Amino acid sequence: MLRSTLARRVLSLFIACALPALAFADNGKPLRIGITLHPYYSYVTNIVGDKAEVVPLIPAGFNPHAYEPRAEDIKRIGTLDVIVLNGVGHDDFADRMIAASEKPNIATIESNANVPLLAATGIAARGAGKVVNPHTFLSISASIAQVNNIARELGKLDPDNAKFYSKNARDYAKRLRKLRADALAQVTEAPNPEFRVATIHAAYDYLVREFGLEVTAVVEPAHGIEPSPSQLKKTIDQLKALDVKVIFSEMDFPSAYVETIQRESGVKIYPLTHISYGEYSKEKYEVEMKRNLDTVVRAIKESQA
Amino acid sequence: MSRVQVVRPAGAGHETLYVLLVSLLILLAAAGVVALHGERHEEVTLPAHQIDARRDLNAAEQGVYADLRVAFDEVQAQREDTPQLVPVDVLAEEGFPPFVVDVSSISRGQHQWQLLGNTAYLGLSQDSSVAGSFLLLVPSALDGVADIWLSRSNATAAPSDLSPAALQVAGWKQVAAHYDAGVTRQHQH
Repeated sequence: MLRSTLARRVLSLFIACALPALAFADNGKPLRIGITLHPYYSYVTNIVGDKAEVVPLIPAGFNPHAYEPRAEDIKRIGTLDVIVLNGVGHDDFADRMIAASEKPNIATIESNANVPLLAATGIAARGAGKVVNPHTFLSISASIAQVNNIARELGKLDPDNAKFYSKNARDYAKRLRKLRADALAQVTEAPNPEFRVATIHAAYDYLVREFGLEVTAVVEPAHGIEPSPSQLKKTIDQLKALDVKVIFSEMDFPSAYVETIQRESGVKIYPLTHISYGEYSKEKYEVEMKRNLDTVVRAIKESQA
Repeated sequence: MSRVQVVRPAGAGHETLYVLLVSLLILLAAAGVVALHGERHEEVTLPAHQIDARRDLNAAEQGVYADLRVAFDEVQAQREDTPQLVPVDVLAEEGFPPFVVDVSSISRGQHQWQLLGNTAYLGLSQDSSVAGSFLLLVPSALDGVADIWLSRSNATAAPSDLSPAALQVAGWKQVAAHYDAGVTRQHQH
């Protein structure tokens, strides 16, 4: 009798120890989530914490504007459970990679599904306004909308952690909101309507919109393509005619012609980052976005001085 | 008896004809392939009471509209705990644009926000030449979508009836945003 009680206790202890492992086996292993661009690495790692693994589709060091899929990168898709996409033009290579992979029907999350998009400007505006500006990640508001959307969709795929994901998304959104609020708080006086800005690359419409500004002109004919001398002259004349006060240039892709524009037109140039270069990290988006916001603030303040 | 030998001229009239016929055949075949496989882009035409968020809003309005949709996510999240809509001043304290007053809200039309009952947020523009007034109707369902309306008139009073028909009569337009990811992608999504 005594022995059977002891045996039962030992057995129940054993079952109690084995249960968590069983539960884990039931849920399967943590999600492996693919991402295509640096900002999305930061978004997703902040949402999932240690409950899932985030895997970049393109290794660090490649420029997503000029990326051509490689065999080993396509093979990696076979190990993923879901891929988070920008989906509006900045990661068009992902479709081809997914189609060629071992999992052509892998689940995808369209981050921008709920984001009000802006029409593309500059040369990308072909197709009667149907092409949209894909750089939604360069805006705090559009980033928060994407973070909320990604968290909601991940929660559907991983219901056990849905609450955890949505809480993390809200905490992250709060930090992002604070970045924007801190930047805006430094500007005491709203820029007047004569404060006109131009950009080298048609990426920053979403960012300057947060300051109530609009991009007046885009200098570069296409990303990475330098304007010819005659195009450059036309651009400089255009900047003078439009009375542009400030140009936002590219920090990650410097070009010699930018200095020519500054010298000839007298317009001040401030570099912004596209957040698509270097190592992937959880903090990268916040760090680089803070720098971008501070740069826009500096441009506004120096124009008022 | 003399035999008449017919010598054809050295012209290549019939060969030219064959070449032309083959070209025509190729052209017809190509036209057929294009007609069968070409993609048709359907124009999205909006009903008269709607305006397009991308084409019909100016930069200031697009900014307010984008922020309002993000704030709506928070409003819905908080309704899971308390059924009452979050007051405007709480949203402003928590730093939610467009409710918070900052440089951006000033340059976008200085909207004055108020809660209408437990169903809507109204933001009256102080400068209708910069941006119109916004109305966010919160759906009763917790997973419902934001319904946002815009009025560019100089109205300073809250609409008394928030039904779509009454809003249309009062000059409000429903803001419609559509997602078309497929434009630059090979697969339509």
